[in-house]
Amino acid sequence: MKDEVKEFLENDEEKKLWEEIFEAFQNGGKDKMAELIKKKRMEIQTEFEKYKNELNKRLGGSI
Amino acid sequence: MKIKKLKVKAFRGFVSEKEFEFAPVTIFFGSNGKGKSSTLNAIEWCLFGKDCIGKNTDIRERIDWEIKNRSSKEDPLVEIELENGNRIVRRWKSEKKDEYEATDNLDLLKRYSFKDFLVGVYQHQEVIRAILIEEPKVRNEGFDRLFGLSEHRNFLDSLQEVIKKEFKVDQLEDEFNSFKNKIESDVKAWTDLINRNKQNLKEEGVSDDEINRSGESKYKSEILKELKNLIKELLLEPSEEFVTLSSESPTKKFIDIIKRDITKFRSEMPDIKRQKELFDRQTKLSLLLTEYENAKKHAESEEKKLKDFIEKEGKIENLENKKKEIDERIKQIEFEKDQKNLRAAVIEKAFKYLERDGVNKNVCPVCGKVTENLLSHLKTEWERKYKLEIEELNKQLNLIETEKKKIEGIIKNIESLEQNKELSRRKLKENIQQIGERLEREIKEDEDPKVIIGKEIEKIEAELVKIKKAVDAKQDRLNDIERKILILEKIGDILEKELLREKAREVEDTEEWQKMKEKKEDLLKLKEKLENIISAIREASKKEVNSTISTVKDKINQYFKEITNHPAIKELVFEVKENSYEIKDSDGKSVIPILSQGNLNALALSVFLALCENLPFGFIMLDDPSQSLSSNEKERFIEILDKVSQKKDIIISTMDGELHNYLLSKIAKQKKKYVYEDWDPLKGPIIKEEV
Repeated sequence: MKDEVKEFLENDEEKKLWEEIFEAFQNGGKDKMAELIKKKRMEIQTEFEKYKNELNKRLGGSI
Repeated sequence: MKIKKLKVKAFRGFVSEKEFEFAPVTIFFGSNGKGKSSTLNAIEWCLFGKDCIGKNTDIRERIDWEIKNRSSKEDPLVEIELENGNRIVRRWKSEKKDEYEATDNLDLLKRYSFKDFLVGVYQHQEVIRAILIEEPKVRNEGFDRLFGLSEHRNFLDSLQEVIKKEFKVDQLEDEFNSFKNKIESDVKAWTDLINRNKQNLKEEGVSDDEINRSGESKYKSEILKELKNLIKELLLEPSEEFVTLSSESPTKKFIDIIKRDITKFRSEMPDIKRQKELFDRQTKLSLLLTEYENAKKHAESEEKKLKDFIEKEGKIENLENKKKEIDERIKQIEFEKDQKNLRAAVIEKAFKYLERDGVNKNVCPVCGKVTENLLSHLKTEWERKYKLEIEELNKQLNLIETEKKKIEGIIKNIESLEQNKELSRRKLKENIQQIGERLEREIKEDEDPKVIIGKEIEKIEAELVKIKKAVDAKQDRLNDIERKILILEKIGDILEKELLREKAREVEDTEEWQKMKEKKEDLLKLKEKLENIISAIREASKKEVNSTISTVKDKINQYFKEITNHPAIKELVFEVKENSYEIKDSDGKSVIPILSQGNLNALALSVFLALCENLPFGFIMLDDPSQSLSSNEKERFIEILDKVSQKKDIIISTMDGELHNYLLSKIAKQKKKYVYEDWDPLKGPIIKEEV
């Protein structure tokens, strides 16, 4: 299934993400897959919050 | 790979060891719950171990499957002997749960998974049941399993669920926009505030030219200069921080220090200090005056109360004399009472004498006249008279004692009023003394404290009027400085808000802003990638199933026609959609609405039988395959099995007597039959072997 799905993915980033998800699912089912996706989402969100806080600080903490 | 023998012990429904020998067609026949399915399960478990247990199998009943038989004390063991003499042994040990032995590597089992086995070797009851259920989702899942796509489906559903949970809304897009809106609304609020403050300053005579950094410095210099002059004039003591201030000092700090020092100066200036002292003295004297007036009023009132009472009730000396007279009278009455009691005692003795024997109680001792019951008459008469006299004396005594108590009460009242009068006088005296102490002079008895205090207050007021002019002049100077501080504060606020507004307006050019935008887009990209993965899984599933169908579609059609002999269907065409299967006739119309339950089962069996030819296993297993089939369909299905049996061994489990008879009569190959007569919890299945 891993390779069959890969055939229909266009870029390397998607292929890499698919491999990670597939591996997580194989090792720990849906929960492990959910954990991986949540971690990826949180990484982006944390970075976003960091920049937002920096800007807020620059504007005197009023926003 | 063909199975020659099977040994089962302590596995699922089996307790003691049972051995089965297999023929080209092996039939497990018997009603439900007797152990037929457990026999097929034993083959699965021996070949695939833990792969055929649990959620991943997509078979609902496997989720909490117990391998070990609860009645048996031994560990489960299943052994398969293959036709080439190889043996596969699977043991279950409590500590390892799964163990596998084989005489060689059995490449076939390495190349094919349990899922392949379910597609092409083992026709499971649950698949047929799913196909027969009318609910489209369950039927689609049944077809998925028939075509070996359960894993894809399971993956797809799980991934969709996770995405739905983790990407509920476009979180960062919303947060980004709300941040942007907040900046815009703050810029607007700051602009309003700046304009309002500028208008206020204009009304206070500050021109626009002064609302800048140099205007700020100018006001600071003026404030410092004026304050320094005042300090010099009045010899005030500025704080250490004040000394460090200049027109270049940060505005907020500058304002805080100046404000604090002004408060300090206000309390330290001599005139103001004196004014405060006079105000304090005036307040205290006024308070003393009020207290004096109240004390005086109270003393006068107490004196009047005493005077009025004495006028009404008499002087205390007169009352005391009256009381003495009453005491004398009481003594006299008590004496009279004693006298009467003494006399009564003598008479009582006389009566006792006369009552003795020998004395004639009817003869008067004075006149000698004889009267019946004379003594008892005399005694009664005397007792009545004595009682009256004593009662009269007691009555008098009560009256004068009441009078005495009344007099005593009046005396007590007078004493209490005198005490009150004395207390109020003492209080008044103390008050006058306090006034004297406050004024630092002695107040003589002929002097009126009210007049003395009034004069003193007049003096204070005169001095206050004099001081007020000087104080007002200084306060005005400080007020003027404070007004400038307010202007400076407003200018500082305007400049600070202008700076913030400038920064906010430039925020979109900052690196952080660009990074925030990037992260927002990264999250969208992550979601997009996951959605692309979902599409890819769908495409891969479609491709897989299309490829499977294209290989076996003729065979499926052939078997379906043979089993059902359906007059209305020319050719089944499978179309795989995103989440469902469409099965149509060659004219493009869906066939599902015209298929009976038996037809649907026939369709599932046709797909299974077509697919089983692709796998190199030498046998197939069918578990209760005849659900809903008509008699004709059963007969034709067995005819197909007869053909299949030319290539593969058949292991079939059924409770259907009709199918069982067709199996015996319509299949040419050698058969072996195991009849499952009963199931005993302590022994396991009761099986009879028939050849």
